[in-house]
Amino acid sequence: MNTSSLPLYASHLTKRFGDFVAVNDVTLEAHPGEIVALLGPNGAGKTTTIRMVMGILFPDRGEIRLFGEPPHAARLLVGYLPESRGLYRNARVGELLIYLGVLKGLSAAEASRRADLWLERFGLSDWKKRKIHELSHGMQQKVQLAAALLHDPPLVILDEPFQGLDPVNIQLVRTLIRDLRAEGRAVLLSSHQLHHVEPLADRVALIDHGHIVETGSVDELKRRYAQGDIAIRLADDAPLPANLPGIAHLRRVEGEWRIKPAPGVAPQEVLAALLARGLTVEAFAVVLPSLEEVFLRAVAAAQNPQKGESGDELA
Amino acid sequence: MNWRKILAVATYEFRTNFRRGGYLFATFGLPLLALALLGGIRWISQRSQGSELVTVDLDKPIGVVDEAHFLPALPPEGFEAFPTVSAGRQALLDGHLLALVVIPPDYPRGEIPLTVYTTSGMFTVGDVLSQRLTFLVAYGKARGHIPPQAVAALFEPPEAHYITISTGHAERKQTMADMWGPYTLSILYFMALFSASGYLLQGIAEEKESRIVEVLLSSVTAHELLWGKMLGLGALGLTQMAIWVLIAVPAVNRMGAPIHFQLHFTTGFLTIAAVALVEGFLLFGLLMAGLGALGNNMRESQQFSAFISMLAVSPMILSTLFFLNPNGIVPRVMSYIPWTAPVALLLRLSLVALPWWEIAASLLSMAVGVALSLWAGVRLFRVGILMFGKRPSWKEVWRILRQPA
Repeated sequence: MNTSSLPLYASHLTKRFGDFVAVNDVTLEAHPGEIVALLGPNGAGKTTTIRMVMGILFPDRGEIRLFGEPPHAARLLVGYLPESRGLYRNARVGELLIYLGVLKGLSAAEASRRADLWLERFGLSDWKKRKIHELSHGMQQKVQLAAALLHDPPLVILDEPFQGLDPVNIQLVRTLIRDLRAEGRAVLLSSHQLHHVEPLADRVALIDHGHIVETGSVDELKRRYAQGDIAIRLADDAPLPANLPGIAHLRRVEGEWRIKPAPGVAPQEVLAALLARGLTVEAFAVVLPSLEEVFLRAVAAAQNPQKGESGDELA
Repeated sequence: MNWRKILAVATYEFRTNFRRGGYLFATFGLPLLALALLGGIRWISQRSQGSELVTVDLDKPIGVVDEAHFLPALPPEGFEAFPTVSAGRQALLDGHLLALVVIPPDYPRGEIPLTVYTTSGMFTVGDVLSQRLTFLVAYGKARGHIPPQAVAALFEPPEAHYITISTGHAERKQTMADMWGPYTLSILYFMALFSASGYLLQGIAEEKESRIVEVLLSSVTAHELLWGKMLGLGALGLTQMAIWVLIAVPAVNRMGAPIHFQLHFTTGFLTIAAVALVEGFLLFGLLMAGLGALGNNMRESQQFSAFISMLAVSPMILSTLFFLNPNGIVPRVMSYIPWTAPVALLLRLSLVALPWWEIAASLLSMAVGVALSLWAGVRLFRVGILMFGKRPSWKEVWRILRQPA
């Protein structure tokens, strides 16, 4: 697909607020049927990037195209859940959804019909005529999601979609996001809670201090930042032989042995040495880092390339 | 700009604000309160007189009991002689007389006053009674040397038109009802203007505080949002004025008729008021929206817009100067300052006639003010609506104003 017709194509975005550079040379893209996650800590530049993509803020430098159009011309094709949640406290749920649907180009009748469907999907049908301030936080968040999706947008942008949700609603939102992908929509989501996004995202962009420090699929990044550690569990909880060759570092983690092989020693060589000693190996796996670990290593690598590439031990 | 979206915002703003308790009270409650007040005055009048309030017939004769033989044998026209006070009082209670005058025996020596009986109180018939009693006394002192008709002619009130004039200004015949109507409308106009721009300020502050503004700006531009609000809330103000003028004013006139409280309007005044209302709302609304968008909550938004509110309210604060001399320097200057002109112009129009060029100059100054408000309001709104957490300094406000729209 030509980059100019992608659901989202943002190239070399830079945004300054006075002397502060909030976003620096950020490039992003999202394809149909793909979940792209923009991950980073608070203040990293995620929301500023998303506001530029939405056309709410204007970049000082760079280009944004949504389906080949500038953001203001593609508003009706985008569903947006902002980080700063808010609804009219005294508005009735149904009326508010219809209003927001009409602003997205739907007729009032069609907006009403779709509002009914979404409220039913979120289990909020009985709350249609209630006022927003009567709803719980989680319910309000669902209403906001319904408002973002009411007009059936092919690109969905969710800024911190898991923020403030209980585990049940987190699961519900995860399922919803997977459904959006299955329907062929492009999804861009941002989060500072990386573990929520890890099982969802097809591709991630790690952002820190306004820079993209790493990008790729979750699996790619984990392998890229894996440090070659091996997790081993022996039958009957047997101890590891003291003179096992090729081991640089050994520790016990939750009933498993965590081995860091010596430089140049492949995991298969460690396994062969164990089997040669007649030990029964119940579990043997190369340890991949969590997304949080990847992020920290990527940030460290970006700040100090030589040290980062050598693979620091994480605390 | 997308007019369909502007209309959608306008419709939503109109509907939500129309249902606010404060708006419903101001639009329907205040006229009802005025009617209740007038009804209360009628009721109290009826209770105090023990009879149904009716218009006093000032042409009824005045009864005279002449214990001093002060008058010539025949009472003059409009008076009726009674032999005793009790007979006169009975005639008065029976509704045949406007009042009963008793001339005590020592009255000619000038030591004892007349005694006057009425059923409607001295305030109701005071002016007419005083005039006719003066005639009665003059007739008595003439002792028939001057024909009664000649004496009566001396006290006949001359027919007159009252005309307000001043150097270089138009002249206008005026009654009290001609003044009360426009004056009341000026106050109602002021209230409508401020309730509409107040809702605008409140709505923007609420949208910023609840952060829904980001959702709105993902669907509409800041300009579309601003103009939608202006259109919806401007219509809300006009609706309020229309309800007051078309429904409440005739009702007040109906209720107020017996106690001489009437509101009259001329087409010319209503036309000028309509133009001033539209210009006034644009003047204040655009600035209120822009300055309101700078605050993070209602309190901060009100602080930013306090100066504008003070400017607008100043003609009402100085209304005494308008009453004392509507063509004085302060009222005239205020008619040409855009942000005081809407109220100042209507106040002056309610008190005196203004030449066309003064009205045109005032409306023109408002138009210039609208252009300035548009220039500043749009810039401040576009930037301010997305400024969260930090209240900008006046220096930053000036920087925003210099940015391109």
